[in-house]
Amino acid sequence: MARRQGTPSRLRIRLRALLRRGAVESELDEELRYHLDKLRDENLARGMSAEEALADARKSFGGVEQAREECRDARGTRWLEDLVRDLGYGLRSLRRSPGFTALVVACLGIGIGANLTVFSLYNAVLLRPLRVQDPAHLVRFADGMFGGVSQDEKPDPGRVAAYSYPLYQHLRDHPQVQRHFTGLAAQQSGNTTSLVRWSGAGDRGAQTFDDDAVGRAVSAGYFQTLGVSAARGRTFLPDDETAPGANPVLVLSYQYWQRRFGGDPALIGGQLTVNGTRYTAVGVTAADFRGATVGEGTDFWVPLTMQGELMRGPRLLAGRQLHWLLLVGRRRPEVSLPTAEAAVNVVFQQYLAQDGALDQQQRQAVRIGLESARLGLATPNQHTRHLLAAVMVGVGLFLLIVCLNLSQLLMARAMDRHREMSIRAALGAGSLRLMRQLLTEGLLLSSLGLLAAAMVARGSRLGLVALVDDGTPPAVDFSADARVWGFFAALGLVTFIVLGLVPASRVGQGNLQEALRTASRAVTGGRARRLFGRALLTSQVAFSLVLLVAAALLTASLGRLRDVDKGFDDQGVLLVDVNPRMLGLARERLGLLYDDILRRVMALPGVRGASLSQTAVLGNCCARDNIVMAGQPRMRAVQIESVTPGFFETLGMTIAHGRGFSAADHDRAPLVVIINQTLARRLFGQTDVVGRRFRFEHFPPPARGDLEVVGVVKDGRTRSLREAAHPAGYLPVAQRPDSLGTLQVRTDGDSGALAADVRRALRQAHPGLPVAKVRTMRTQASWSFTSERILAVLSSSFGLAALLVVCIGLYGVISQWASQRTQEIGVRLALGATLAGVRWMVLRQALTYLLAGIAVGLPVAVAATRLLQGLLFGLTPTDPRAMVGAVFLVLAVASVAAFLPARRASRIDPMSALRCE
Amino acid sequence: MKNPENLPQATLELLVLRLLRSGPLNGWEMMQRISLVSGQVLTVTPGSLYPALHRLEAATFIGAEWGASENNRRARYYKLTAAGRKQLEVERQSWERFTGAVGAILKEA
Repeated sequence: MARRQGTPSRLRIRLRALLRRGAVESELDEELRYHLDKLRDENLARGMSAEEALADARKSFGGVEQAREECRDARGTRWLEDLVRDLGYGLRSLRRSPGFTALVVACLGIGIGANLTVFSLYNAVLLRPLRVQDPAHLVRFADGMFGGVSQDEKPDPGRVAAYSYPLYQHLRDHPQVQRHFTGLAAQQSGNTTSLVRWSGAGDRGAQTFDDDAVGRAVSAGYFQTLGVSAARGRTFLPDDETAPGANPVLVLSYQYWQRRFGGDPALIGGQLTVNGTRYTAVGVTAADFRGATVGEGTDFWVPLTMQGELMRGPRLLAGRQLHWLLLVGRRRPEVSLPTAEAAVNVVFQQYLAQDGALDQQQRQAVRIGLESARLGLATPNQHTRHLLAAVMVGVGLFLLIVCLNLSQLLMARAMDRHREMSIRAALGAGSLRLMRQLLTEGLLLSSLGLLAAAMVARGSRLGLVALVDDGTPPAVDFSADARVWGFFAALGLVTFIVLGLVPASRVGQGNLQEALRTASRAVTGGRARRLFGRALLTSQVAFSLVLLVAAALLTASLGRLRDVDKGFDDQGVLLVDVNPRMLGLARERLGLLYDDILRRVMALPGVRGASLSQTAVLGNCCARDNIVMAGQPRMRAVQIESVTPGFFETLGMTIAHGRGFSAADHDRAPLVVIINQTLARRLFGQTDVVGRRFRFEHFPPPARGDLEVVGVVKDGRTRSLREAAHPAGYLPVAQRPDSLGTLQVRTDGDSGALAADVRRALRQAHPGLPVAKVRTMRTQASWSFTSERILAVLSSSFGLAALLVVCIGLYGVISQWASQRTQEIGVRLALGATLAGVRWMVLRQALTYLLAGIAVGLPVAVAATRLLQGLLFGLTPTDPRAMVGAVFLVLAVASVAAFLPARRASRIDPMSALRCE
Repeated sequence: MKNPENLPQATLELLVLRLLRSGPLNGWEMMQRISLVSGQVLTVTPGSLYPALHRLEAATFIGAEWGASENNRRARYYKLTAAGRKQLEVERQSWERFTGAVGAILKEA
């Protein structure tokens, strides 16, 4: 008996139990067998037969398996051993049913992946603070300003108003403001599309490159106030905002630097020409800074004093009534928002009193509102918020349906495995042990599902970026942050609960002995279980109905928007954005250039007409001005547009009364205007107002008298397809000179085919003329319902996917129901039931589920689609056709899914059905 | 068959430790010993003895080695470790305190 000395440590015993499991188990076997053999030998010695001896030994030993289990428990590493074994067992069992596994993983992948994608978008747009230092103390100067950009009759609440440079300076330098803020910065309210020229190494040595980029003029303290550091070089210093035109320095965004210059460090301190002015690039902003407004990316910044050079327009700095700056401040941590607001308004009122532009009463009506700028300088508008919320709810609902379906699937699987579980229980596995087995399987399944979801989300996030990409700098940062990971973890937990806890919780309830006794008969489960299963199916039907109603509404809405009477003809029109302002031509030369462009384009074969206007139809809107008429309230924000004479003909807009413009409306002729029907009605109470006169607040100059209405054009949706016409006036560019930005070309056939010819003609008219977007009017129109199209496509795909999931569930439940009634059906058939009768019996069962689901789902749909209120065009969320359509679709498709098991049931051979028991 | 006393788990472990003080034993021998020494008053089932042995082994109070038994078959022999020796002393004292206290009450009451 050789025995080793020394005591094995606790750790060694456990490690051995874990790592050399096979050896430990066989040792246990041998030890127990030795004991059994001893018992048997004793019995043999007493004279028993070999068989008797063995049987008696077993009997007096007691439960061998149980002893074995308890010995395993005694090792203390049991849970880990079990986990390893359960994982292996779970993997094997999943591999044994690849169809089930694939279905679960695919459903989870799509369901969770979609939720993750939408949430990361939602997070990027609505939840994520600016990527700057301490965004919580940033404050934006919101509405309340008289004039400025909030000329709309009903400005959005929370909309950022614009301020003049003198007011900004006054606020920035006032000690009272400085006591409450550590910094106050200003930025130009929009981006300026610019031509950037730079020299670099090309294929053939040094070359000069031209590039379109968007720039923005900002105050010298902008980056410091925002809390943005430089990744290379420096940001602006106080010395960079000294005098108009005197500070040719610029800061590049990290993304632009990478995208266009490949992160070339030599660029810092180098020279770039922007819109004809040479600048020194002094630095690059921090890599994660994407601008102060979500969705508005900027490629480079110049000091405010360079605004005239950047925009190639008049200098705006000195204008006390020019409101073009957005203000952002950093309040001191100890100063609350209301305190800061009160202080700012005291200073503001002093400024207004000195300024003298407003009387006492008007001054009292204006007030600067301060809001937290934690999320950015502008909050996404109502439409975006509605859209994202609706999509969030939609994908959430889809995931809910998937989870309900998976619960049902797992329950069915648990019933299938009831016997397996019972046998394992009888062999000594505790019910806790069985539960753990099911939990492990759930864990495996949900891990696989989450893995698939992460891949789906990755793919669709790339797709989203591509979808949002319209040539402007990528301004939305979709990357995952703590919130996205938290969301992912929460979804993972929910999935695990559905896939692991639900089936595991059923183990304790089942009566194992009963299951074994009725081994040969299908186990149907108790009444409660059946009810639970029914509730699962019914709620799936209900929720998918909600999704389908929403899809029907959104699809119909898209159709309405496409077919809406636009008031102009969008067939066969090419739109070209040009930027003649960048040429820096004098007014007369500009007029000649316009004529030359139009002459050259009209000379092209296949062109029927051409015109120029300030802005593109259905693009960003135009200039606005107010109208003051004696005896009428001041009419604010009337759209005005300077156009060349052929404008209405080219776009196919109908002149309802009077005439269009002609070459006779030159700058020495009497001033004329063409207004739309809405403006005519607002101003004069009728539409036939040819010959009437009025003036805009800022045009014409008082010396030139009033404008005479020479024509009334039919109302059209020229600004937004969603909104009816706003009051609008059109002026001949010869009489109201302005830089025109869009060329319209009416063609005979496919307007897109002419794009190259038109570009050539423009180059011939002036080789340096910047030509940006070229697209057909159809494309331009489709851009204006991008969000509707995305919504319609998304909701339809999720609605149909949900319906498919429901069909799978229904098919499963009905098949099971029918197979449990094989005998009953056999008896019925034997007693003379018709095939149709049997099919109807099965179908009727499916219909009860469907109708119950529809009865629950319709009211839910009515309540839920109210979310779509702001997103629907031309129909209400309770549109009966959408409801009926969705109900019909659910009934039709689901009935087909139920018909398959019904047909199978009716083909049962009565004799074999009766014999099968 | 007599009606044997069912041993509480802690008592069984105390007995095992005590038996092993005089030398290594395998499971079978231990059962024989308990039955013999207690005059067949105490009987232990394999179903409770082997888990108790594995528990004590996991707690490092006893160690296990494979050795040859009397008819040259391999059997698993357990022996007391240093930690087990201490544990035996602790448990013996607490057992004596316990039985002493119960005995005192039975006498006095």
